[in-house]
This record gives sequence, structure tokens and C-alpha cells, in this order.
Amino acid sequence: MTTTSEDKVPAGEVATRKSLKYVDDQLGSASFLKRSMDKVFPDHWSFMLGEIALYSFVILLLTGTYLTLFFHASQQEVIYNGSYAPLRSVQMTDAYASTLHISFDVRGGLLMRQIHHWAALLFTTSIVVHMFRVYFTGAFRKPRTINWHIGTILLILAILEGFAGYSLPDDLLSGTGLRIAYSVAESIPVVGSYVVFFLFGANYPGTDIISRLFIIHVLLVPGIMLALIAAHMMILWHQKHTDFPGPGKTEDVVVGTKFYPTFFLKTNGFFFMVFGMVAALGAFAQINPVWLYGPYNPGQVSAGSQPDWYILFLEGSLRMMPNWETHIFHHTISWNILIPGVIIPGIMFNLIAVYPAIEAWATKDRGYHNLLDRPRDVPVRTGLGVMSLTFYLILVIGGANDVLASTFHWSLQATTWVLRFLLIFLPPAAFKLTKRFCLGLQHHDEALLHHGIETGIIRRLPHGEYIEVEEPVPAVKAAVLASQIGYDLHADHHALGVGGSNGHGPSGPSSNGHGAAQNGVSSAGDATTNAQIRRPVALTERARLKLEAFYLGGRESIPDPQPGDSGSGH
Amino acid sequence: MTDSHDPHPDEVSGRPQRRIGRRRPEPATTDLLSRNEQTVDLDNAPPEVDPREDKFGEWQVSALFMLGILATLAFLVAYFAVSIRDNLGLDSNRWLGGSLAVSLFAIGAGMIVWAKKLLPHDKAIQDRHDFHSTPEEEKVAEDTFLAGVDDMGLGKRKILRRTLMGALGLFPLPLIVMLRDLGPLPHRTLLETGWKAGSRLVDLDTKLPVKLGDLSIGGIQTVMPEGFTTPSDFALAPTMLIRFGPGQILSQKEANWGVDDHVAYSKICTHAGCPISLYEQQSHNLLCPCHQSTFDMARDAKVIFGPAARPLPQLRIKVDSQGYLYAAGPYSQPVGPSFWERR
Repeated sequence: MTTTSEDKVPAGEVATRKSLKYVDDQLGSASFLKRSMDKVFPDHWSFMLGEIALYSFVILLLTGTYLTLFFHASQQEVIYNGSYAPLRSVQMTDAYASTLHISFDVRGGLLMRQIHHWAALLFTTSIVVHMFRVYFTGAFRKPRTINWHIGTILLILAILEGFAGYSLPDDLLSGTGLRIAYSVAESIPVVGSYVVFFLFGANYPGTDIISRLFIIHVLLVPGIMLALIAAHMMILWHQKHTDFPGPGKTEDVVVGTKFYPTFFLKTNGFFFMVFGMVAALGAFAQINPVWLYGPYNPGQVSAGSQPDWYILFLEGSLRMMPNWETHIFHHTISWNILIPGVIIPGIMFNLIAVYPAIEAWATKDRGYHNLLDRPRDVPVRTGLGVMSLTFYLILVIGGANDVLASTFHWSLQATTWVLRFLLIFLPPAAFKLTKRFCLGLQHHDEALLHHGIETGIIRRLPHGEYIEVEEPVPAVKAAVLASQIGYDLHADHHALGVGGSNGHGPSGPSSNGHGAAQNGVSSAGDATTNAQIRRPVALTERARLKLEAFYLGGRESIPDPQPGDSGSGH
Repeated sequence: MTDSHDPHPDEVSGRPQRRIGRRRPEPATTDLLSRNEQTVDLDNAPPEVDPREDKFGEWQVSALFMLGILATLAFLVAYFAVSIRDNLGLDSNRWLGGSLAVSLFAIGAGMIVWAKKLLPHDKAIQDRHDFHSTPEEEKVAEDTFLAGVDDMGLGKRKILRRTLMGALGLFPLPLIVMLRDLGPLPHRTLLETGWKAGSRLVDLDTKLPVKLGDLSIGGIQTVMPEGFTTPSDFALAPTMLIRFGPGQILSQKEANWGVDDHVAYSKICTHAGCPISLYEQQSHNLLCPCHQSTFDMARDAKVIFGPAARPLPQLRIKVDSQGYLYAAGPYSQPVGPSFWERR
């Protein structure tokens, strides 16, 4: 550098260097900043799902803060005197009246309400979809199990937060939802009536629930969520993102674009686009028009009362439940509410929480996993996921059984009964089908590796035999494929069928993992393990082996074309 | 910093080596690469940029940002120009929301196009550091922790340990006890509805007393005990007055508790407490819109479908000399959903 060029350092650069230096002088942040900017992020569309959840949370904070400036969390009865003529001089709570005020007398108020509601739907939706992405690709495995647990808590909190939020306007629809929530809590044996009296401050509906829900909705739950989201992100940042197998990708490196500037610019742009999308919905798609429902009145309800979608599974389980109730020693246990409203969701969320531990225990997979599985390569996990999803979706559909019946002119009773049967029989069927489907896809992949791509060219050999010409899969693609379906790749792939019968042994979902994990898996993977055990084995270990066989036993390999190997084929 | 010359800086400092933006020195150690016998190019060679493409990209991005500026200005204009009184505020909502959406979307799209078209698409590769510490580090941490426990004497000084545990165990109790005043104890309030002997039946909306004969055959009316101010005061009180045709009531008890084919039943579903409202005149079935529990109102409100376990409680009514209906007494059993204390 010559002195002349030094003289021409732009003023902006000088200022930037100065301010960075100012911060570093006090915080010593330079090396952290450098490392952070150089952080490598892998690229895949499914990694944006969590980003959508994060950004909708930010949108919720922004719009929600605006709404609190106008909302009155009070159940004091007032006479409405605002702009919405049909409800003028109607008696209602202040909460409902102030919601009407926001909608009709605050410029942009309705927009903020609608953006807030749409963003809440997007938030819960993206959390659930993100969770299933993490599940089906095995991203919850070590070392990311703690983050899976944080995510589980965030999911539960998001649902609670949403419910508290849409109960606040105290309209007829949300009041009905609160009434049902009250009854569900009331059904808890021994303490139920005390719980609801302390929660509502009186016999239903009381005058405290809206103000209490308000502080829960705007401070308590979002505060906890903010802390957990920060932890979720910091762990992600610290551990670096998972990635799908691909050229140059291994367990030990992360391949992608650097955080700054490319990823930084993209992800900020994505925030604006998500916000723009939700703003468009808030502008043109009406949501929760509380003025049409009217103020809450315990003596009224309208048909077709559906909650927001993320509560619908609870509504469905309540609707599908048979009317069981036990009277014992002068006490009543209402199983018809307790099971669908408390026990089933309790089991569901607990299963989500413990699943990583169950899978790791069953498969003895203690390895670190940074590369993701494709769903087809872990048929049992994928099957279980689709099974759970099926169960959940039938509950959701069950929450709209009256809408279905009236839309399609079905008998309501028949609809409910069919859904009851489907709830029991469809999930196992979905498991079987999914597993089969995964195995079929595995077959296809293995066939690609063994035989190559079918060219459609039929060639006649000199001795008269006709064969189809198969082209080998391109090397890079074959390598990725082999790592995905869990082959130990030998130096010479074509020797695999002859020399390497081990290559056909079942290898589990941890095949991408470290060597230690693989040993544990391959020793117990075959179905004969159980039969070989003669000495007494602890009951838990026997259960574990059963589970292990369930996880890994279904793996199938197709025989190689070599004559020596074909006889032993399945 | 002499440490940096150590042969294994990873293990000593706990910090990974970072190689960013250039090819790893030994990329061929992995299965993927070795068997391909070709390396994956991670060199960040300067992209070959067509100056015209570059110019076009710049134009696109700036056009999007310009759109963002215009849309924001449109929002400001619409805020003052479009009245919230017109068309129930829908016009205002569409203008404000539409311009906000366009402005946000344009800014976002501009940023992304910028990143996609004008920034180099460098692939970078970075080591993942070890997720766990070295065994030595783990041991040192454990030892330090245990040494602290030892220093405090938590093992030996039993009296300290026990009193501390006692103090910490009791400490949250005041916080829990303070929740006591969140609400009253239920006592008998779950059994009471506001209906007393002699309460006249008044219409929920008009608050006028109900006379025998006001309701037509097959009709249904929601009534409350006279003197209620807001429906929330007596959330368990809403009651349905149903008038049957002669001989349509199939239960002797039901007919006896009513007056002249008029019967009164609690409107609060015995399942989850929704007010039941869908009455089918022909079949005398009453359907709860919340969870579709169905009650046969001609047979003591027996449950014929759905998750409700118990029939709706009946309110015994009588008629006074002026023809007004009144309750002969409170409900004989708790109304609404079941709870533990219910017998």
C-alpha cells in the first residue's frame, strides 16, 4: 500500500473500524465476531422451517406489543358505544369492547390483530412441521437431544400461549373454549375443583380469568419462551447445523455458506418476506371476526364452534371419547373428559420428549450424529412417525366432525363412529405401510448401486441371451447413496457381493455414526439374537433386545447379481 | 502466543482449528471422497461474472428496494387518507395491510436477490469441534466440583447439610401458600345454580317472566331465575323450557316435574359445560354443538349419543295463580360437568 491510497480510505470504513474497535476495547469481541461471521451454515430448504417459527415469534412480539397499548384485560361489564353499529348499546365485558375498539376505531388496529392471529397460526404450524423435519431426519440424536427437549417445551408453551391469546377478546367462541378448558381442569380427580377455583378466582366464569390470562399471555409464557428460544439458538450456534449427506460432507465437517455476508443477508431478507406474507394475510384474509360472534354469554353457543387448529386435536379427542364415568365411594371420575383432555395429550407430549432416549436405548446408538438420515433409511422410526402423525391427524379431523357431517350430508353419529375406529386401526396400518414403503425405496436404492441405471437398451449377447444394458451410477451419486443407505464402502464396490458378505449385514440408523456405535448395532441386528440367549438375562435387557430387533430387524438387502451370492437371497 | 505452535492445539486449548473458505488439506480421508477418486471442488475461485448480468442484478435489487420505499410511502398516505369509518374499516385495512405487505416483501426479496445474484456463491468447509471435552478436562471439572463439595463439608457436616436442605425445602412454601387467595374454596358453590324455590322463570334476553302458554308446542326457550343481572352471575343457571305436544312425554317422572307438557332442564351440558342449543322438534333430541352429546328430551334427557355420561338435570317447575312459571325448588343434583366431589 502506498501512502496515497491510505489517504483515500473512505470515511465510512474509518467510522466502522472505529466503532468496532470501541466495542472490542471494552468487550474483547473481535475474535468472537470474526468466528461468528465465518460460521458455516449448510443449505437446505427444510432448514428454513425453524427460521419461519423464529420469525413469526418476532412478528408476534412486535404486533402483540402494539395490541397491549389498546387492549383492556378486564371483565368489567360495559355498554358498547363505539363505531360498530350492530353491537352498540349491548352489554359486554371491557375486554370485548376494547377488542372492538381496536378493530373499528384504531387505524391499523384490525390489521395488527389479524397479523397477530395469522402469525400465531404460522408460529404453531412451523413449530410442528419443524419438529417433524427434525424427527424424520434423526436430527434429535446425540448431541442434539437437549435441544429436542427445549423444542418440546416450546411446542407445549406455544399451544398454551395461543390458547391464552385467543381467549382474551372474551367473545362467544373463545368463551366457549374457556368453558371447555374449565371443565377439563375440573375433571382432574381430587384437586380438579380447587384448581379451577384458584385459576378462575370463582365459580365459572368469575371476573378474574381474562386479566390473569392476559399477564400469562403477555409476560409469563412469552418470557419463558424467549429464554428457551435463546437457548435453542445458542445451542444450535454452538453445535453447528446438521446436514444431509452429500459430496464432501462428513460427520466431522460442515459444508455451506459463511454466515456473513451471504447467509446473513438471505436470512434477514427471509424475515422480511415472512413478515410481508403474514401482513398480506392480515390485509386480505379475515381471521377471528369477533364482532360477528358477539360477546360471551354462558347461556349461548353457536354451532360449528371450532378452536384454532392447534387446539383441534384436543377438541377431536373430547368429541370421539365414549361416555365413560365412574362413581366410586361417593366420588365421580369423568373418564370422558379426563382421558381425552388430560391423559391423551399428556401421553403424546411425553412420548415426544422421551422418544430420543427410547431410540438410543433400543439401538444402543451412543454415537454423535451430524449427518441426517433420509426417512427411508430408518424405516421403523419413519413408520412410528407416520403412525403418530396419523393418530394426531385423525384427532384433528375429529375436532371438525360436525362440519364434515353437515358439509357432506353424512350422519353425525356414523362419522364419529368411523373416526373412532380409524383412530384405533389406521395408525398401525400407517406404520406397516410406511415401513414397507421405506423398504421398497431402499430396495430401489440398492438396486441402483448394484445394477446401475436401467438404460432401456436391450442387447443380444453372442450366445443368444438378451440383457438390458445398465449404466453404473455416477461416482459421486453412488458414494452419497451408499452412505445414505448405510453401506460400508469398500475400495472396490464390485467386490462387495463376493468378498464382503458383511456388507449385507443389517446396519442400523447409526451407520452414519462413529465406529463405536456401529459395533453395538451390527452385533445385535439380526433376528437370531434372541434365540441365541440361553443364560438368564435381565428383563429390561430382554425388552431392549426385542425393541432392538423391532428397530433393526426389518432391514432387507437384495442379492448381488453374482452367481455365488444369488442363492442366499431372501 | 507460544501455545499456537503446539502440535495439537485442539486438545490443549479446547479450540478447534478453523479452516474456512479454502479446501481442507486432506479432504480424501473420508469414504465419500476416497472412492470417487475425485475431489469436490471447494475452491472459492472468483466467480465469472458477466458484467451485464451483474448490472441487471443490481437493477433488480434496487428496483425492489424502490418498490419498498413507494409502498411505505403508500402506507403513510393511506393511514391519513383512507377513513376507518368507510366499509367497516375494511378499506383502511386493505390499504394499510396491502402496502405494508408489499413494502416488507419487496425489502425481503431485494435482500435475497442481492445475496443470490450479486454475492459470490462460495462453498466453505469448516471443522466441527468435538462436542464433548477431553477426558482430562472432564475429570478436572468433576474434581473441582467435588472438591468444592468436600470443602463445604457437605459429606461430613451432616447437620449443615440437613438444615440447609430443610431451609431450602421449606423456602418455596410461602410462595405456594400465597396462591391460596387466588380463589375461594369450592365448598357448595358448584352445587348451587341461583335457582331457589319460588324463583320465577324469566327469559334470558328480555328478562320478562314466562307465562304458561307463551311458548308454542314444540318450542324451546332459554330461561334464567328472576333477578339475575348478567348471565355470568349465574353461569350454571341457564335452563331450557321445552313445550311438548300432549302425550309426547314418555317418562312419568318427567311429566310430573313439569307443568302441562312444559318441562325445564338445565342447559349446561353434563359433559364439558357448553350451553346446549340444538333441539330437534320431531325426534325431541337435543344436541350439544360442542361435542355432539345428544339427549332424548322425551325420556328424562337420557344420553343417546356422544361423550356426555349423565342426563341433563331436570328443574321441577310449577305455575302460580297468575299463570307464571316458577321453580318448585333448586336443582336436585349438581348441573354441568362432573367433578370429583360430585356424588
